[in-house]
Amino acid sequence: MVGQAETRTSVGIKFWFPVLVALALILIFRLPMRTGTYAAFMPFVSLAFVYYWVLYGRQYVPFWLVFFLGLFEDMVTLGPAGLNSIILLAVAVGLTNQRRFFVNRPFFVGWAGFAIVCIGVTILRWLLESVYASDFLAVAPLASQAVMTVLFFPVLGWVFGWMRKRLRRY
Amino acid sequence: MLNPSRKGGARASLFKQSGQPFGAGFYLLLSIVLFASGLIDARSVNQVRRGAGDIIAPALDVLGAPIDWAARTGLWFDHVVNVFEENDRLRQDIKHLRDWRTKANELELENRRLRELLSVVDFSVPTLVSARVIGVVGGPYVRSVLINVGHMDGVRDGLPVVDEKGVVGRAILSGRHATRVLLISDLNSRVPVRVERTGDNAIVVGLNEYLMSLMFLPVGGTVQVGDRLLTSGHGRAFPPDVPVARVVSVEDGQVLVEPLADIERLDFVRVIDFDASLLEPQIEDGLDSSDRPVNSDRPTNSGGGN
Repeated sequence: MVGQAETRTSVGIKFWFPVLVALALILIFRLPMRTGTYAAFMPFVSLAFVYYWVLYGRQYVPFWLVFFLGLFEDMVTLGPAGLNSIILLAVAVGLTNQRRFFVNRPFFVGWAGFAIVCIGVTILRWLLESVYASDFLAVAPLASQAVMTVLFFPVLGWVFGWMRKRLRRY
Repeated sequence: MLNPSRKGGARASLFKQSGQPFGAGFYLLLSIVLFASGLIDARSVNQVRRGAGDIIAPALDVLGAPIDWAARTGLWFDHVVNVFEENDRLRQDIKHLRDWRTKANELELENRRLRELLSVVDFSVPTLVSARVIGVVGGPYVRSVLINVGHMDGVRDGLPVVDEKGVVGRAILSGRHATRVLLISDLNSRVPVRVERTGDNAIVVGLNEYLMSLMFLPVGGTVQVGDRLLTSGHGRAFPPDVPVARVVSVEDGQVLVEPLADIERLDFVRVIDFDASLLEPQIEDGLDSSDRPVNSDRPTNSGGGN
Protein backbone atom coordinates (compact mmCIF):
# COMPACT_ATOMS: atom_id res chain seq x y z
CA MET A 1 0.00 0.00 0.00
CA VAL A 2 2.77 2.37 0.98
CA GLY A 3 4.68 1.53 -2.17
CA GLN A 4 1.60 2.15 -4.28
CA ALA A 5 1.00 5.53 -2.59
CA GLU A 6 4.61 6.51 -3.21
CA THR A 7 4.28 5.58 -6.85
CA ARG A 8 1.17 7.71 -7.19
CA THR A 9 2.94 10.62 -5.51
CA SER A 10 5.98 10.36 -7.72
CA VAL A 11 3.79 10.07 -10.82
CA GLY A 12 1.90 13.19 -9.71
CA ILE A 13 5.12 15.11 -9.12
CA LYS A 14 6.51 13.97 -12.47
CA PHE A 15 3.38 15.14 -14.23
CA TRP A 16 3.10 18.54 -12.55
CA PHE A 17 6.80 19.39 -12.48
CA PRO A 18 7.05 20.56 -16.13
CA VAL A 19 3.75 22.44 -15.90
CA LEU A 20 4.69 24.28 -12.74
CA VAL A 21 8.04 25.26 -14.23
CA ALA A 22 6.23 26.51 -17.36
CA LEU A 23 3.81 28.58 -15.25
CA ALA A 24 6.73 30.01 -13.27
CA LEU A 25 8.53 30.89 -16.53
CA ILE A 26 5.42 32.62 -17.89
CA LEU A 27 5.25 34.73 -14.73
CA ILE A 28 9.00 35.40 -14.59
CA PHE A 29 8.80 36.97 -18.04
CA ARG A 30 6.02 39.18 -16.62
CA LEU A 31 8.11 40.59 -13.81
CA PRO A 32 8.92 44.30 -14.02
CA MET A 33 12.63 44.04 -14.78
CA ARG A 34 13.03 47.83 -15.00
CA THR A 35 13.82 47.23 -18.66
CA GLY A 36 10.57 48.65 -19.89
CA THR A 37 6.91 47.78 -19.82
CA TYR A 38 7.34 47.52 -23.56
CA ALA A 39 8.61 44.12 -22.86
CA ALA A 40 5.15 43.35 -24.19
CA PHE A 41 7.09 41.46 -26.79
CA MET A 42 7.96 38.82 -24.29
CA PRO A 43 8.38 35.28 -25.55
CA PHE A 44 5.29 33.12 -25.89
CA VAL A 45 6.50 30.65 -23.27
CA SER A 46 3.46 28.38 -23.35
CA LEU A 47 3.90 27.89 -27.10
CA ALA A 48 7.49 26.77 -26.58
CA PHE A 49 6.29 24.52 -23.75
CA VAL A 50 3.58 22.84 -25.84
CA TYR A 51 5.89 22.49 -28.84
CA TYR A 52 8.69 20.90 -26.84
CA TRP A 53 6.63 18.52 -24.75
CA VAL A 54 4.33 17.40 -27.55
CA LEU A 55 7.42 16.35 -29.48
CA TYR A 56 9.60 14.99 -26.69
CA GLY A 57 7.22 14.01 -23.90
CA ARG A 58 3.68 13.79 -25.21
CA GLN A 59 2.37 12.20 -22.00
CA TYR A 60 3.08 15.43 -20.09
CA VAL A 61 0.75 17.56 -22.17
CA PRO A 62 -2.76 16.13 -22.39
CA PHE A 63 -5.20 18.32 -24.27
CA TRP A 64 -6.97 19.50 -21.14
CA LEU A 65 -3.67 20.85 -19.85
CA VAL A 66 -3.00 22.64 -23.14
CA PHE A 67 -6.49 24.15 -22.88
CA PHE A 68 -5.94 25.47 -19.35
CA LEU A 69 -2.44 26.72 -20.17
CA GLY A 70 -3.97 28.77 -22.98
CA LEU A 71 -6.59 30.16 -20.62
CA PHE A 72 -3.87 31.09 -18.14
CA GLU A 73 -2.04 33.02 -20.88
CA ASP A 74 -5.31 34.76 -21.78
CA MET A 75 -5.85 35.82 -18.19
CA VAL A 76 -2.29 37.10 -17.81
CA THR A 77 -2.14 38.98 -21.09
CA LEU A 78 -5.69 40.40 -20.96
CA GLY A 79 -6.24 38.85 -24.37
CA PRO A 80 -9.59 37.50 -25.54
CA ALA A 81 -10.57 34.43 -23.51
CA GLY A 82 -10.08 31.23 -25.47
CA LEU A 83 -7.69 32.74 -28.01
CA ASN A 84 -4.51 31.16 -26.71
CA SER A 85 -6.30 27.88 -26.03
CA ILE A 86 -7.34 27.70 -29.69
CA ILE A 87 -3.79 28.43 -30.81
CA LEU A 88 -2.07 26.02 -28.44
CA LEU A 89 -4.56 23.22 -29.13
CA ALA A 90 -4.11 23.72 -32.88
CA VAL A 91 -0.33 23.43 -32.41
CA ALA A 92 -0.67 20.35 -30.17
CA VAL A 93 -2.95 18.58 -32.64
CA GLY A 94 -0.79 19.57 -35.60
CA LEU A 95 2.40 18.31 -33.98
CA THR A 96 1.11 15.19 -32.28
CA ASN A 97 1.76 12.88 -35.18
CA GLN A 98 4.86 14.70 -36.47
CA ARG A 99 7.30 13.48 -33.85
CA ARG A 100 9.21 11.33 -36.33
CA PHE A 101 10.46 14.44 -38.10
CA PHE A 102 12.00 15.91 -34.96
CA VAL A 103 12.92 13.23 -32.43
CA ASN A 104 16.59 12.14 -32.52
CA ARG A 105 17.45 14.95 -34.90
CA PRO A 106 19.96 17.77 -34.31
CA PHE A 107 18.73 20.66 -32.19
CA PHE A 108 18.58 23.14 -35.03
CA VAL A 109 16.00 20.94 -36.81
CA GLY A 110 13.69 21.36 -33.81
CA TRP A 111 14.50 25.06 -33.69
CA ALA A 112 13.72 25.51 -37.39
CA GLY A 113 10.47 23.60 -36.90
CA PHE A 114 9.61 25.90 -34.04
CA ALA A 115 10.28 28.96 -36.20
CA ILE A 116 7.84 27.62 -38.81
CA VAL A 117 5.25 26.95 -36.11
CA CYS A 118 5.73 30.51 -34.84
CA ILE A 119 4.99 31.92 -38.28
CA GLY A 120 1.77 29.92 -38.47
CA VAL A 121 0.81 30.92 -34.94
CA THR A 122 1.43 34.59 -35.70
CA ILE A 123 -0.87 34.48 -38.71
CA LEU A 124 -3.60 32.60 -36.82
CA ARG A 125 -3.33 34.91 -33.85
CA TRP A 126 -3.45 38.02 -35.99
CA LEU A 127 -6.61 36.72 -37.67
CA LEU A 128 -8.30 35.92 -34.35
CA GLU A 129 -7.25 39.19 -32.70
CA SER A 130 -8.50 41.12 -35.73
CA VAL A 131 -11.83 39.29 -35.62
CA TYR A 132 -12.11 40.09 -31.92
CA ALA A 133 -11.29 43.78 -32.48
CA SER A 134 -13.46 43.90 -35.64
CA ASP A 135 -10.56 45.67 -37.28
CA PHE A 136 -7.32 44.86 -39.07
CA LEU A 137 -4.73 45.18 -36.32
CA ALA A 138 -1.06 45.89 -36.87
CA VAL A 139 1.00 42.75 -37.43
CA ALA A 140 4.23 44.26 -36.10
CA PRO A 141 3.61 43.60 -32.36
CA LEU A 142 2.84 39.94 -33.02
CA ALA A 143 5.79 39.59 -35.39
CA SER A 144 8.09 41.10 -32.73
CA GLN A 145 6.81 38.65 -30.16
CA ALA A 146 7.31 35.76 -32.61
CA VAL A 147 10.92 36.81 -33.21
CA MET A 148 11.54 37.05 -29.46
CA THR A 149 9.98 33.62 -28.94
CA VAL A 150 12.15 32.02 -31.61
CA LEU A 151 15.28 33.69 -30.20
CA PHE A 152 14.46 32.52 -26.69
CA PHE A 153 13.67 28.96 -27.77
CA PRO A 154 17.22 27.62 -27.21
CA VAL A 155 17.10 28.86 -23.59
CA LEU A 156 13.63 27.49 -22.97
CA GLY A 157 14.51 24.28 -24.80
CA TRP A 158 17.56 23.88 -22.57
CA VAL A 159 15.39 24.28 -19.45
CA PHE A 160 12.82 21.79 -20.75
CA GLY A 161 15.60 19.39 -21.79
CA TRP A 162 17.14 19.57 -18.33
CA MET A 163 13.72 18.80 -16.84
CA ARG A 164 13.23 15.86 -19.19
CA LYS A 165 16.53 14.36 -18.12
CA ARG A 166 15.54 14.71 -14.45
CA LEU A 167 12.17 13.15 -15.11
CA ARG A 168 13.78 10.17 -16.82
CA ARG A 169 15.88 9.43 -13.73
CA TYR A 170 12.84 9.03 -11.49
CA MET B 1 -2.79 12.49 -15.68
CA LEU B 2 0.47 10.77 -16.48
CA ASN B 3 0.16 7.09 -17.07
CA PRO B 4 3.39 5.54 -15.69
CA SER B 5 3.05 2.49 -17.91
CA ARG B 6 3.24 4.62 -21.05
CA LYS B 7 6.56 6.36 -21.36
CA GLY B 8 5.94 8.21 -24.59
CA GLY B 9 4.46 8.29 -28.00
CA ALA B 10 0.86 8.58 -26.82
CA ARG B 11 -0.95 8.95 -30.09
CA ALA B 12 -3.78 11.37 -30.23
CA SER B 13 -6.43 12.27 -32.68
CA LEU B 14 -8.50 15.38 -32.95
CA PHE B 15 -11.41 13.65 -31.30
CA LYS B 16 -9.91 11.38 -28.69
CA GLN B 17 -6.62 10.96 -26.87
CA SER B 18 -6.03 7.55 -25.40
CA GLY B 19 -6.38 7.57 -21.64
CA GLN B 20 -8.21 10.92 -21.64
CA PRO B 21 -11.97 11.44 -21.32
CA PHE B 22 -12.10 14.10 -24.04
CA GLY B 23 -10.11 14.68 -27.21
CA ALA B 24 -8.69 17.90 -28.62
CA GLY B 25 -11.92 18.49 -30.56
CA PHE B 26 -13.84 18.93 -27.34
CA TYR B 27 -11.37 21.45 -25.89
CA LEU B 28 -11.05 23.24 -29.21
CA LEU B 29 -14.82 23.63 -29.34
CA LEU B 30 -14.83 24.86 -25.74
CA SER B 31 -12.15 27.43 -26.60
CA ILE B 32 -14.11 28.65 -29.60
CA VAL B 33 -17.25 28.99 -27.46
CA LEU B 34 -15.26 31.01 -24.90
CA PHE B 35 -13.79 33.19 -27.63
CA ALA B 36 -17.23 33.82 -29.12
CA SER B 37 -18.77 34.53 -25.71
CA GLY B 38 -16.06 37.15 -25.14
CA LEU B 39 -17.14 38.82 -28.38
CA ILE B 40 -20.73 38.96 -27.12
CA ASP B 41 -20.22 39.80 -23.46
CA ALA B 42 -16.73 40.68 -22.18
CA ARG B 43 -17.95 41.54 -18.67
CA SER B 44 -18.23 37.96 -17.48
CA VAL B 45 -14.67 37.31 -18.70
CA ASN B 46 -13.48 40.39 -16.83
CA GLN B 47 -14.88 38.99 -13.59
CA VAL B 48 -12.63 35.97 -14.05
CA ARG B 49 -9.69 38.27 -14.84
CA ARG B 50 -10.15 40.11 -11.55
CA GLY B 51 -9.81 36.81 -9.71
CA ALA B 52 -6.85 35.80 -11.89
CA GLY B 53 -5.02 38.98 -10.88
CA ASP B 54 -5.46 38.06 -7.22
CA ILE B 55 -4.11 34.57 -7.87
CA ILE B 56 -1.02 35.54 -9.83
CA ALA B 57 -0.12 38.54 -7.63
CA PRO B 58 1.36 36.47 -4.74
CA ALA B 59 3.26 34.30 -7.23
CA LEU B 60 4.70 37.41 -8.90
CA ASP B 61 5.62 38.76 -5.47
CA VAL B 62 7.55 35.60 -4.63
CA LEU B 63 9.22 35.29 -8.03
CA GLY B 64 10.12 38.98 -8.04
CA ALA B 65 11.68 38.93 -4.57
CA PRO B 66 15.18 37.86 -5.75
CA ILE B 67 15.18 40.57 -8.42
CA ASP B 68 14.12 43.19 -5.87
CA TRP B 69 16.78 41.98 -3.49
CA ALA B 70 19.46 42.14 -6.21
CA ALA B 71 18.35 45.64 -7.23
CA ARG B 72 18.36 46.86 -3.62
CA THR B 73 21.76 45.32 -2.98
CA GLY B 74 23.18 46.95 -6.09
CA LEU B 75 21.75 50.28 -5.00
CA TRP B 76 23.20 49.86 -1.52
CA PHE B 77 26.69 49.24 -2.92
CA ASP B 78 26.27 52.22 -5.20
CA HIS B 79 25.38 54.40 -2.21
CA VAL B 80 28.33 53.15 -0.18
CA VAL B 81 30.77 53.88 -2.99
CA ASN B 82 29.41 57.38 -3.53
CA VAL B 83 28.66 58.29 0.07
CA PHE B 84 31.03 61.30 0.34
CA GLU B 85 30.06 62.73 -3.01
CA GLU B 86 26.39 62.21 -2.14
CA ASN B 87 26.86 63.95 1.20
CA ASP B 88 28.31 67.07 -0.45
CA ARG B 89 25.50 67.13 -2.98
CA LEU B 90 22.86 66.82 -0.26
CA ARG B 91 24.37 69.71 1.69
CA GLN B 92 24.13 71.87 -1.41
CA ASP B 93 20.55 70.74 -1.97
CA ILE B 94 19.56 71.58 1.60
CA LYS B 95 20.93 75.09 1.17
CA HIS B 96 18.94 75.61 -2.03
CA LEU B 97 15.79 74.07 -0.58
CA ARG B 98 15.87 76.37 2.47
CA ASP B 99 15.73 79.36 0.15
CA TRP B 100 12.95 77.73 -1.85
CA ARG B 101 10.96 76.90 1.28
CA THR B 102 10.81 80.55 2.25
CA LYS B 103 9.67 81.52 -1.24
CA ALA B 104 7.15 78.66 -1.35
CA ASN B 105 5.63 79.69 1.98
CA GLU B 106 5.20 83.25 0.73
CA LEU B 107 3.64 82.06 -2.54
CA GLU B 108 1.32 79.66 -0.74
CA LEU B 109 0.05 82.45 1.48
CA GLU B 110 -0.47 84.73 -1.48
CA ASN B 111 -2.16 81.97 -3.44
CA ARG B 112 -4.52 81.21 -0.57
CA ARG B 113 -5.47 84.87 -0.20
CA LEU B 114 -6.16 85.20 -3.94
CA ARG B 115 -8.24 82.00 -3.96
CA GLU B 116 -10.29 83.32 -1.07
CA LEU B 117 -10.78 86.63 -2.89
CA LEU B 118 -11.96 84.85 -6.04
CA SER B 119 -13.91 82.16 -4.13
CA VAL B 120 -12.11 79.40 -6.06
CA VAL B 121 -13.06 75.90 -4.92
CA ASP B 122 -9.98 74.08 -3.71
CA PHE B 123 -9.67 70.87 -5.69
CA SER B 124 -6.75 68.91 -4.38
CA VAL B 125 -6.66 65.19 -4.96
CA PRO B 126 -5.32 63.10 -2.12
CA THR B 127 -3.45 59.87 -2.60
CA LEU B 128 -5.64 56.90 -1.78
CA VAL B 129 -2.83 54.40 -1.56
CA SER B 130 0.71 53.88 -2.76
CA ALA B 131 1.40 50.67 -4.62
CA ARG B 132 4.18 48.68 -6.15
CA VAL B 133 4.13 47.44 -9.73
CA ILE B 134 4.52 43.67 -9.48
CA GLY B 135 3.91 42.57 -13.05
CA VAL B 136 3.73 43.61 -16.66
CA VAL B 137 0.57 41.81 -17.65
CA GLY B 138 -0.18 43.12 -21.10
CA GLY B 139 0.15 41.37 -24.41
CA PRO B 140 1.06 42.46 -27.93
CA TYR B 141 -2.04 44.64 -28.10
CA VAL B 142 -2.43 45.63 -24.45
CA ARG B 143 -0.24 47.87 -22.30
CA SER B 144 -1.04 47.20 -18.67
CA VAL B 145 0.64 46.49 -15.36
CA LEU B 146 -0.44 44.78 -12.16
CA ILE B 147 -0.16 46.63 -8.84
CA ASN B 148 -0.30 45.09 -5.39
CA VAL B 149 -3.39 46.88 -4.04
CA GLY B 150 -7.07 46.15 -4.58
CA HIS B 151 -10.57 46.45 -3.15
CA MET B 152 -9.29 45.82 0.34
CA ASP B 153 -7.19 48.99 0.06
CA GLY B 154 -10.08 51.03 -1.30
CA VAL B 155 -9.09 50.81 -4.96
CA ARG B 156 -11.94 50.68 -7.46
CA ASP B 157 -12.16 50.60 -11.23
CA GLY B 158 -11.55 53.89 -12.97
CA LEU B 159 -9.31 55.54 -10.38
CA PRO B 160 -6.33 57.41 -11.86
CA VAL B 161 -2.84 56.09 -11.21
CA VAL B 162 0.16 58.43 -11.21
CA ASP B 163 3.85 58.35 -10.39
CA GLU B 164 5.94 61.26 -9.12
CA LYS B 165 6.15 62.76 -12.62
CA GLY B 166 2.68 62.37 -14.08
CA VAL B 167 -0.26 60.22 -15.14
CA VAL B 168 0.47 56.51 -15.53
CA GLY B 169 -3.00 55.20 -16.37
CA ARG B 170 -6.24 54.06 -14.79
CA ALA B 171 -7.32 51.09 -12.70
CA ILE B 172 -9.39 48.82 -14.91
CA LEU B 173 -9.78 45.51 -13.10
CA SER B 174 -9.50 45.78 -9.36
CA GLY B 175 -9.45 42.51 -7.48
CA ARG B 176 -9.24 42.03 -3.72
CA HIS B 177 -5.49 42.47 -3.42
CA ALA B 178 -4.32 43.33 -6.93
CA THR B 179 -5.39 45.71 -9.65
CA ARG B 180 -4.64 45.97 -13.32
CA VAL B 181 -3.73 49.40 -14.58
CA LEU B 182 -4.29 50.29 -18.22
CA LEU B 183 -1.35 52.50 -19.20
CA ILE B 184 -1.92 55.79 -21.00
CA SER B 185 0.09 54.41 -23.92
CA ASP B 186 -2.44 51.64 -24.54
CA LEU B 187 -4.32 51.77 -27.83
CA ASN B 188 -7.62 52.15 -25.99
CA SER B 189 -6.43 54.96 -23.75
CA ARG B 190 -7.83 58.49 -24.12
CA VAL B 191 -6.74 61.27 -21.77
CA PRO B 192 -8.41 64.69 -22.08
CA VAL B 193 -5.67 67.30 -21.76
CA ARG B 194 -5.01 70.99 -22.16
CA VAL B 195 -1.85 72.56 -23.51
CA GLU B 196 -0.24 74.34 -20.57
CA ARG B 197 1.10 77.21 -22.71
CA THR B 198 -2.08 78.01 -24.66
CA GLY B 199 -4.90 76.42 -22.70
CA ASP B 200 -6.16 74.57 -25.80
CA ASN B 201 -8.01 71.35 -25.09
CA ALA B 202 -7.12 68.12 -26.85
CA ILE B 203 -6.93 64.38 -26.26
CA VAL B 204 -3.86 62.22 -25.82
CA VAL B 205 -4.40 58.88 -27.55
CA GLY B 206 -2.28 55.79 -26.90
CA LEU B 207 -0.66 54.02 -29.85
CA ASN B 208 0.67 50.91 -28.07
CA GLU B 209 4.11 52.45 -28.39
CA TYR B 210 6.21 54.68 -26.17
CA LEU B 211 5.05 57.82 -27.96
CA MET B 212 1.39 58.82 -28.02
CA SER B 213 -0.64 60.98 -30.36
CA LEU B 214 -2.25 64.33 -29.61
CA MET B 215 -5.62 64.59 -31.33
CA PHE B 216 -8.70 66.76 -31.51
CA LEU B 217 -6.93 70.10 -31.15
CA PRO B 218 -9.39 72.97 -31.66
CA VAL B 219 -9.44 74.96 -34.91
CA GLY B 220 -6.49 77.34 -34.86
CA GLY B 221 -4.95 75.58 -31.90
CA THR B 222 -1.20 75.26 -32.13
CA VAL B 223 1.39 73.29 -30.26
CA GLN B 224 5.16 73.31 -30.42
CA VAL B 225 7.85 70.89 -29.42
CA GLY B 226 8.41 71.09 -25.68
CA ASP B 227 4.83 72.05 -24.76
CA ARG B 228 3.63 70.37 -21.61
CA LEU B 229 0.18 68.77 -21.48
CA LEU B 230 -1.89 68.64 -18.30
CA THR B 231 -5.15 66.83 -17.63
CA SER B 232 -8.09 69.10 -18.40
CA GLY B 233 -10.59 67.41 -16.11
CA HIS B 234 -13.01 66.83 -18.99
CA GLY B 235 -14.73 63.50 -19.15
CA ARG B 236 -14.49 63.13 -15.35
CA ALA B 237 -11.74 60.56 -15.81
CA PHE B 238 -8.81 62.46 -14.31
CA PRO B 239 -8.51 65.39 -11.92
CA PRO B 240 -7.42 68.60 -13.65
CA ASP B 241 -3.85 69.89 -13.85
CA VAL B 242 -1.96 66.62 -13.49
CA PRO B 243 1.04 66.46 -15.88
CA VAL B 244 0.54 63.94 -18.67
CA ALA B 245 2.99 64.35 -21.54
CA ARG B 246 5.34 66.62 -23.47
CA VAL B 247 5.21 67.34 -27.21
CA VAL B 248 8.21 65.84 -28.99
CA SER B 249 7.27 66.12 -32.64
CA VAL B 250 4.92 68.17 -34.83
CA GLU B 251 4.99 66.97 -38.42
CA ASP B 252 2.41 66.99 -41.20
CA GLY B 253 -0.40 67.67 -38.79
CA GLN B 254 0.53 64.74 -36.57
CA VAL B 255 1.56 65.60 -33.04
CA LEU B 256 3.51 63.02 -31.09
CA VAL B 257 3.96 63.30 -27.34
CA GLU B 258 5.99 61.38 -24.79
CA PRO B 259 4.62 60.47 -21.37
CA LEU B 260 6.04 62.41 -18.44
CA ALA B 261 5.51 59.45 -16.13
CA ASP B 262 8.26 56.89 -16.32
CA ILE B 263 5.94 54.25 -17.77
CA GLU B 264 8.78 52.19 -19.14
CA ARG B 265 10.34 51.68 -15.72
CA LEU B 266 7.51 51.76 -13.27
CA ASP B 267 8.28 50.86 -9.71
CA PHE B 268 6.08 52.63 -7.16
CA VAL B 269 2.88 54.41 -8.14
CA ARG B 270 0.04 56.22 -6.37
CA VAL B 271 -3.66 55.57 -6.80
CA ILE B 272 -5.51 58.89 -6.55
CA ASP B 273 -8.71 59.12 -4.56
CA PHE B 274 -10.58 60.96 -7.26
CA ASP B 275 -14.29 61.67 -6.98
CA ALA B 276 -15.44 63.15 -10.28
CA SER B 277 -18.58 64.59 -8.67
CA LEU B 278 -16.37 67.10 -6.87
CA LEU B 279 -15.29 68.64 -10.14
CA GLU B 280 -16.44 72.17 -10.69
CA PRO B 281 -19.42 72.40 -13.08
CA GLN B 282 -17.61 74.89 -15.30
CA ILE B 283 -14.97 72.27 -16.14
CA GLU B 284 -17.65 69.89 -17.36
CA ASP B 285 -19.29 72.64 -19.37
CA GLY B 286 -15.96 73.94 -20.58
CA LEU B 287 -16.14 72.78 -24.21
CA ASP B 288 -17.47 75.79 -26.04
CA SER B 289 -17.79 75.99 -29.81
CA SER B 290 -14.15 76.94 -30.35
CA ASP B 291 -12.99 73.87 -28.44
CA ARG B 292 -14.91 71.36 -30.46
CA PRO B 293 -12.77 68.71 -32.08
CA VAL B 294 -11.98 69.10 -35.73
CA ASN B 295 -9.79 66.08 -36.24
CA SER B 296 -11.97 63.17 -37.14
CA ASP B 297 -9.08 60.71 -37.35
CA ARG B 298 -9.67 57.74 -35.15
CA PRO B 299 -7.09 55.19 -34.25
CA THR B 300 -7.82 51.59 -35.01
CA ASN B 301 -9.41 49.43 -32.38
CA SER B 302 -11.00 52.30 -30.55
CA GLY B 303 -12.50 50.72 -27.53
CA GLY B 304 -13.38 51.28 -23.93
CA GLY B 305 -11.22 54.31 -23.44
CA ASN B 306 -8.98 55.26 -20.60
